[in-house]
Amino acid sequence: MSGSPDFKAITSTAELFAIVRLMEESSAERYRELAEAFEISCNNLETAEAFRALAEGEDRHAAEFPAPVGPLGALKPWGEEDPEIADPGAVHYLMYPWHAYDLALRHEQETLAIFTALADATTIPEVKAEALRLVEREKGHMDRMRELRDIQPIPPDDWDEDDDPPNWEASD
Amino acid sequence: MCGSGGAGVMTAANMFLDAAAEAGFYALFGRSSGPQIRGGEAAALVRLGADPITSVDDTFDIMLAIDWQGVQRFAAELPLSKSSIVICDPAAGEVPEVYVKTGARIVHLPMKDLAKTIPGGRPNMIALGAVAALIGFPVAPLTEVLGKSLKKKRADAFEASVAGVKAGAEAAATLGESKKLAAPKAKDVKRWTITGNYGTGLGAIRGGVRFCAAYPITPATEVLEYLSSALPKVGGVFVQAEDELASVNMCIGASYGGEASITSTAGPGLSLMIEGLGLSMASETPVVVVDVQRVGPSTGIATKCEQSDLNIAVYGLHGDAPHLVVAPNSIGDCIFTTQWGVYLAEALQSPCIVLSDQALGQSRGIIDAPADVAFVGKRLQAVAPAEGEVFKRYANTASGISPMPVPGQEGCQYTADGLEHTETGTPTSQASDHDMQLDKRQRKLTSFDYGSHWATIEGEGDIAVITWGSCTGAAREAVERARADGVNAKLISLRLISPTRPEHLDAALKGVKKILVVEQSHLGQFTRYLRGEYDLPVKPEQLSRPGPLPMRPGEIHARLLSMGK
Amino acid sequence: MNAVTYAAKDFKSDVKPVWCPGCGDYAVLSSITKAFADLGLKPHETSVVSGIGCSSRIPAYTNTYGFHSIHGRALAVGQGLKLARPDLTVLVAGGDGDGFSIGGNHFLHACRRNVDLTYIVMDNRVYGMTKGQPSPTTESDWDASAMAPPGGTGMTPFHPLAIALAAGANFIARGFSGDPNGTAEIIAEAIRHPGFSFVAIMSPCITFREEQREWKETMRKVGMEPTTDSAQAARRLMTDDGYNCGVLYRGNRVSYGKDKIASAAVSDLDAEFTL
Repeated sequence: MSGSPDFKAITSTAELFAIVRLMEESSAERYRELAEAFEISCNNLETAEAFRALAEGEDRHAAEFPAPVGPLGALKPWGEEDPEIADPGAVHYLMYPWHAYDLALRHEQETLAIFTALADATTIPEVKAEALRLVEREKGHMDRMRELRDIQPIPPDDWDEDDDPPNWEASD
Repeated sequence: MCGSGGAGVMTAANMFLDAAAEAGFYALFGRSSGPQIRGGEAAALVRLGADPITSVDDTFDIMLAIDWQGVQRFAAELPLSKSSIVICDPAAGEVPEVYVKTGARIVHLPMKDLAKTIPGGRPNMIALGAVAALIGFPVAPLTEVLGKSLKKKRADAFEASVAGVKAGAEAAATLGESKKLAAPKAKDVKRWTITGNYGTGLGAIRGGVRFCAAYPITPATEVLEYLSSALPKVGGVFVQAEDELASVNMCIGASYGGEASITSTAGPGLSLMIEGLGLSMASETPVVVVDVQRVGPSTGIATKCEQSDLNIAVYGLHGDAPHLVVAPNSIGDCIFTTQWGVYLAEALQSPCIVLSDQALGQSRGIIDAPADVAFVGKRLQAVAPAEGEVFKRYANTASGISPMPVPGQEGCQYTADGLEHTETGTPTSQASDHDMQLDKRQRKLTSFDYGSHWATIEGEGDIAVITWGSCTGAAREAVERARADGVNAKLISLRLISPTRPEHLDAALKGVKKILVVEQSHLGQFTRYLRGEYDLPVKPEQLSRPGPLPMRPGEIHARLLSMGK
Repeated sequence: MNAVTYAAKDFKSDVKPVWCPGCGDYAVLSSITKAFADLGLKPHETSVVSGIGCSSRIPAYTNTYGFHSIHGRALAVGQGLKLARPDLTVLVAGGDGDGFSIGGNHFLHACRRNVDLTYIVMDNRVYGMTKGQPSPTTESDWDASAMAPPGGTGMTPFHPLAIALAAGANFIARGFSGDPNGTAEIIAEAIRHPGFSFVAIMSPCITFREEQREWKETMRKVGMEPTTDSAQAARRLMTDDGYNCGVLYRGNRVSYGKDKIASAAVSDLDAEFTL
């Protein structure tokens, strides 16, 4: 249901950095929430650990940008949603760490697409230059995420089969 | 005084009571009516005297029947003796066999015909005049009351009523002699006239209640009726809820917001409110529920009295859920006990059930003015914790009472919960947390100082009569009569039903050799409660009966005499 | 005094949710706290009241005054609180079973009564806490759970928005947990709007209703401006397929309740009974 991002709202590199920092922070928060959910409500500690590591990675990414001076106010450049907020419906209580990194990889990919579109759309040279740098940065993140994913054990085909399902023997 | 709907017996009886109040008498006015809203048979049951009255008598001296329609249904509630007089209209047909059998003297008064001789005349005014004259009741206060209530409406109605009363009084000369009323002594004593249900409403406000949500139900509706007009006057809020579930939960919400709250109901409504009471108990959000008991189970007999909600009031909640149950024992005590109940609920952050009953709630009394006591509900206020510390809403204090904040207070935000919780209010399933909170909630109730109000205790003797609620009046009168016969008994009427006060009752029963429990229940719920919860020194005798018939002094008196042999 | 402002995270508590990973309610919690922050509310002057169910755990996850009450009764508790304390911002929240089944009667009368509060129902069309029974909003033929009768309940799903309108709610909107910012805006508007504001938030239960993952694709922004005309709103809602998100109706009824002004002292009440 997400609308297309409103790139015109960004008029300076300071604003762009503020937005990127916010994106990274909200991703960190979301990954942390997932880590807690996996730990508290379904005892999936490995995946919880993966999300916790992802959250810490996003913390580091956020710290690369200066904290905005003053409140962001109504600055909402990406329309409806922050692209790096993980889609709640995209997780499964039996998912493996491999899935967690795969999910993160997809989100880095979405972010990359956003920055690419920003570089194309903006008419402000400084913003365009920074957007292109961000594209390169995201490519690096994606490579790193792919590496992290690929060192995880590959989930078996029947990874989502539950011998003790939440509502036992689904009738279909 | 009885008759079918529209005969005006209630109007006449109310005027009679107003006049009695004016003249300095004491009175007790109960009503019995069929299930119909309008047009059903109705009986106004009045006892009048120069001294305070807290009980019905064994028999009526005078029964006045404007007509006989449906009146035999009340026969059991209208006991007559050979010395009673039945006044009836010859035009109303034959006197039902059930009244003839009593041996009462039957006299005729053509009320309808006499009324016809007066323009706008009504039989109930003829009846009023006749009864007044028969017992030697002064005419002046009657005329005064008629003036007050009718003159504002229509002058001709007033004239017609005065003429009717006069005609009735004159006709009384043909009715023979009756017992005469002793002259009033209380002209200078401060007296009130009030029903138990209005008293309950007033007591609630005196205790600090400023919020009421309630759903109409017989015989508790007058509590709601009173509070709906009185609460706004003192800056409070009244809401008529969609059902009893909403009533009690709205009260819990308001109480959470810091307002002392009350709802009123009867047995069927109390059944629905039980889940809310459990929430109030577990979340330690005070609320007061008045149950004006009526005949149960289920819909039972909605308009009549019974003391059979004791079990549900004390034991109805699931889980280990100690809470407050208090019971008024006279019309005037409805004021005090409700006020006290609010005070206790607020102090102990507990639900409090006020077990009134139909006989107290719907009876109007002329009583000595009640004392204005200083019990006003007050909660233990919370203080915001130091920086970095978490507020503990359910802190495990020595008294068991934890400080309770009012929303708006900074730094004390908490989530009230019916789930078992830790001291901070966080849900928990751990045994140690459950133990701690169970102990705490029990401790606050049992270690509290309830003072002398836990019971009304009167007299000394080898026999103790233990009773509660509206049976207290009859028991008191029986104890007085027995004393005159040389049998000394002590009256103990329990006001604090729950928690129990074992040491206090032990002390009160010291030296007692026999115990009689008086109650209005088929199962003997109160007797069972006493035997189950207290170590009584002797096995008690039980004198009980279900509603709708009240316990009368004579039968208790007779039992006391046989026990005193 | 300097006005202290609170960020969304100041409205969250340290208590960790018991919700399943991927539950839509996480996003709803974020939307609620964001709306509180955007409105400039203070945690201690705000209250969240709930009943029983997965979503009803929400008060403990906020840092406001909260009440986790009993099944179906949240609206009663919330209305009592608001009427006793009109100065507080009261938000009542819960699920579809809590609000429309056991609490159905309170829902109708809360709409009618029009007390100035906001009611959020996180609708996932299933009883999650008891492991997958059909709820009042479950599709009539849903039987993908051992807890549902074969062939489904055969009962027409409850239409909360149309019922809210018919019963007199003063503000009606639908949100989607997959659109947390949009939902936060709707909640903020609902809180600002006087009277009883009802916000149904479609919040998938991916544990018992796996197919609700697809809501991400099916939910859409309502293509029309909200109407103040109840007849027009009725037509819209009766033709609504359940996937239109946004504010659908803004009424202009006056909120229930009068100012609490004492005109008498308690002792003045005695006069009525004194002879």
